[in-house]
Amino acid sequence: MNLNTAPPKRRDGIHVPDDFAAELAERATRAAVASSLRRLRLRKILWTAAATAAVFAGVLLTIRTETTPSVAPATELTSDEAWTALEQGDITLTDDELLELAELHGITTL
Amino acid sequence: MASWLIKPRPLFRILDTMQPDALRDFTKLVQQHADQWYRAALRIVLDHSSAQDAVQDASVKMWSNWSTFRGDAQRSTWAYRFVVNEALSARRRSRPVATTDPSELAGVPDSPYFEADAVLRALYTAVAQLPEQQRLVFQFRYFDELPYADIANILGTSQGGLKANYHHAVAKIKKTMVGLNLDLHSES
Repeated sequence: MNLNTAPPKRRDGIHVPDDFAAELAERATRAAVASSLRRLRLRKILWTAAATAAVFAGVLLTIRTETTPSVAPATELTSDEAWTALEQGDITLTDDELLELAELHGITTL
Repeated sequence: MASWLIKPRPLFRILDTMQPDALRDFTKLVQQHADQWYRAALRIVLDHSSAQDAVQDASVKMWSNWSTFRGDAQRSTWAYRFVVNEALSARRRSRPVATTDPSELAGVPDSPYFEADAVLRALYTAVAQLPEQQRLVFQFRYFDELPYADIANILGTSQGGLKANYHHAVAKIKKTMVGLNLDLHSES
C-alpha cells in the first residue's frame, strides 16, 4: 500500500505546493475577469459617447434644415414679360439676349 | 473604516455577470493547469515573480481570446501556447542584450519551489546554452513529457522539425554534461 501523500517528484525540480497553485489560479482568473470587465466598461462608454454624438448631430441637422430659408425656384419669363421688364429697367440683357428678344417681337432695328 | 469598502468582490459574484458556462470552463482550466503553467513559465523566465506575472498575463489574453478557440487542438494545449508566448516575451523584455551575469548564464530558476541536485543544476546550465527552439523542445519533451503532436501545436511547427531539434538538443546536452563530468539519465 502506498501511503506517500507527497506530490510526485518533478523532473524539472520545480515542486509547486497545492496552496500556491490554487492562489495563482485565483489571481490569474481574477485578473482575466477584471480585464474583461474593464474592456466591457470601456466599450459601453465608447458606445454611449458615439450614440450621444450621433443623436446630437441628428438633432443639429434637423434644426438647421428647419431654419434655413428655402431658395425660390428659378422663374421662367415669357418674351412679353421679359420685354416689359426690360422697358421698366428691371433687368439687363446681353447684346445677344437683346437681339433674340427683339427678333421675337419683330423689331429689326434698335 | 468599513472593511467591505476594501474587500474585493467574491469571484462568483463577478462570474454571474458574465458568460457563465465559458467562465466556468476557463476557471476550471486555470485551476487544473496553473501548476504546469507556472513551471513552464519559470523554466523560461527563470524568476519566480516574472513566472507568476507571465501566467497571469497569459490568463488575461486567454480569456479575451476564449471565443476564438477553433477546437483544432486540446483547450489545454491552446492555453499552454499563451503561457509560453507570454513567458518568452517577458524573457526578451528583461534580457534585451546578451547577458554576462554568471547566475543567468547558469540558467537555473530562482524560485522557492525549485530544488535541484548538482546533476539537475548542470542540466539546466547545459539547456541554457541551447538555441531557443531546441531549449523549448527539450523542456517540453524531457521535463513535461509532452507528445510531439502537442509540442508542435504549442510552438506552431512540424513534428519532424521538433524531433530533429530534440535530438540535436540531447546531443549537445550530453556533450556539455560530459564536459562537466556529470551524466544525464538517458531518455529513450
